[in-house]
Order: sequence, then C-alpha cells, then structure tokens
Amino acid sequence: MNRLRYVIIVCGLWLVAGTLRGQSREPKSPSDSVLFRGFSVHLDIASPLMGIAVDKGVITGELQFDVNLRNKFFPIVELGYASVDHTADNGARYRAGVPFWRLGLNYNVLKTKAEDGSEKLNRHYPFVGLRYGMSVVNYDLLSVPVSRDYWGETAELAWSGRNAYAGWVELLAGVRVDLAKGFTMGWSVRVKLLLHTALDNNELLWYVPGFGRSSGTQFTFNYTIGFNYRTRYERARMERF
Amino acid sequence: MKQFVRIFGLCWLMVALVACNGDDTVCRKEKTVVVGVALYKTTYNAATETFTTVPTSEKLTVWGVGSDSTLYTGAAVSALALPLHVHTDTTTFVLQRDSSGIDTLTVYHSNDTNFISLECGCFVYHTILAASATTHQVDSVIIEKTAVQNVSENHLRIYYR
Repeated sequence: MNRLRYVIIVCGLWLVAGTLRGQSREPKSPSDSVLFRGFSVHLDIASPLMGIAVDKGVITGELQFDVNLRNKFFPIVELGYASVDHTADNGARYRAGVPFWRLGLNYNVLKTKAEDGSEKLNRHYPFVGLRYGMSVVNYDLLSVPVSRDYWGETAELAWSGRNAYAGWVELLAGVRVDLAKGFTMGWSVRVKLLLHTALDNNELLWYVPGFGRSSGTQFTFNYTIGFNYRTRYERARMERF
Repeated sequence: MKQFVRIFGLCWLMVALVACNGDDTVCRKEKTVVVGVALYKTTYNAATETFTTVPTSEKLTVWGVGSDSTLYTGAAVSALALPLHVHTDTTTFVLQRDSSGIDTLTVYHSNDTNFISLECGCFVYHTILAASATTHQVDSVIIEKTAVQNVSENHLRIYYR
C-alpha cells in the first residue's frame, strides 16, 4: 500500500513538473498577461446514479467550481455530501452522513498556443488532475457480531456517535466538452488512495463520503454537466475564430 | 505525437493503479482463535539417573466445563486446540486420559475485542495470564506463549507423568 501511495504522489509531482516545464517553453504572447478567463460550475450526476445502481444504501452528490487560468490550468473546489446506510451479510450495520470537500487542479493537456505564439481555440479538451480530499465522518457501527460457537456465546458490539477525519488523494483524467451557450459537460475517471485518518484501524470507517470504501484503492467515474462563464476578453477572443 | 504519448501513458498508469485493487472483502477462515496445548511426558532413565522430557501422544477426551460438546473424544493426540470464553476471563477444561484419571486445566486470561471489518465482524484475542491443572495424571503445566491471536501456535505445555 505504501508503494502505491508513493507511485501516486510521484505521478502527481511528475504531472506538475512536466506541465510547468512544457509551459515555460512556449513563446510569450500579449495574451499571457490575461490570466483569468472565466469560471464554471458543474453538477456530478454519475455518482448519485452509481450510488443507487452499485453501492446500495449510498446517496451522494457533489458540485464542482473551477477557475479558468489561460485555458490551461483550472484550480478546482469540489463540495459534496454523502450518506450511507449499509448492512453487511452478518448483520453489522454502518451509518454515516457528512459533507466532504476536495481541492485540486485540472490541467488541459492540449497545446493552447500555435507555433507563432498565438492562442488556439480549444472548445473541448482532455485533462489530467490531482485532488486532495477531506471529510470529517460522523459514523455509527451497529450490531457488529462477536461469537464463540463452542461456548454458545454471542454478543453484538456498537460504536455510536463516533467521528474521525479522513484525507485522501486522487489522480484523474477526463474530458470537458463545450455544448452551446456556455453549457458544458465532462467525464472523468479517478483513482483514489486514502492517505490518513484519525483512527488506528481504518476499517472502522467502512465508507468515507467523497472517497468510498476505506479498504484499498478506489476507482470512480464522474459525469458532469454545468455552465461555463467566460470573461469578456475570452468571449471576444473566441469570436475571432 | 508527444501529447498522444502523454495521454496514453497516463491512461496506462490509471489502469495499472486500478489493477492494484485487491479483494478486500475476504475474511479470515477461522473466526475463532484457540489456545494451542502441546503434550509432553517426563520419563526417568534409570541407567543415566536423569529425567528426560519428550513430546507425547495421549488418548484424551476433552470438554469445556459448562459445555455439552466434547472437543476430543478419546483419539490419540499430541496437541490440543482449546477455545476460550469471550465474555469471562476464566476457562476450564476437563482432560480425561484413556478412561482413567481426570484432570482439569484452568486458563486465566484477558479478552481483547478487535474490529476486523464490517463484513468480518470482530475477533476476540486473548492474553494468557496464568494456567493451572490438577495433578492426578498431569505433572505440571507451563505457559509457552501468552498472546492468543490465531489457531496455529502452541501457548501451553502440559507435562504428563
């Protein structure tokens, strides 16, 4: 698990270093002075559907706010809420319902400048990204069985009203597609790795809102729709194409 | 081309990372930990005038005091696997050797509940604090290991006469 953690962290650093190096090679142009190009708000509609279809008892939803910096970098905040009520085959029950947040950056992997230094038009773009997510989980673990068959001893343990923070990192890749009149949609796949929790035994947090099952690396899919606001400068630039 | 390689590389990396996922819902087969007891016998060698201790097999019938079922029913065994109580801190077993003498083995222990996972529930581990036995057939009992956390270790030695 530690090796996997290092792989994700190294990949994240490689992404950042690679993108910065690539950026510095591009010739400067007057448009470089205009940093802020707009912002967008997106609603993820895949995770609630996945919660209903796959993870029974999980209800989740999230919003994404990102800022467009030179059409290349997209600092992003993701806010969401998830509740889970799951009963295992042995009767043990886990309940949690809390908000979560993620901070990170998307990077447009397409070239945004032509050979002559002029900016290109990228209405649709593939991206890679990195996130750090956190949630303070209020959870109940109920009816956890303890038994010793030979002696006929059975009991049920409970951990009620507990809370613990959990932090994780995500590596993602996706596509953002410009529809019309500022409306956009996108897809992304994510690999998530739990970095730390306040507990010695992470298994107590069976499900971490915003992350998923606490045991092992998680893999999720997001499908988002939303609205993209472009600045006057960016709208004027796009009209030239 | 460079961009294609970069995107392809990242996709491959994502797939590789996802492939690292293990099956995290597999529970341990044994949900009960047991005290392993090895049987020994001390014999006197008249020629050398010394006592020697060797592992032995005994035909034992074993049951827990308070339980209706037997753990061993007269078969020749060289080691025993004994489950301890999870709600009390003293467990007593009856050890009947052949059809003759009966001894009782009492284990004093603490119980430590460990949450494994939602699917697997809790395991109760034990720490052996003391052990004693009556001495009709048994010579003595010693503690070899105090932590009881699996089904494959020996924790006690019983020395038969």
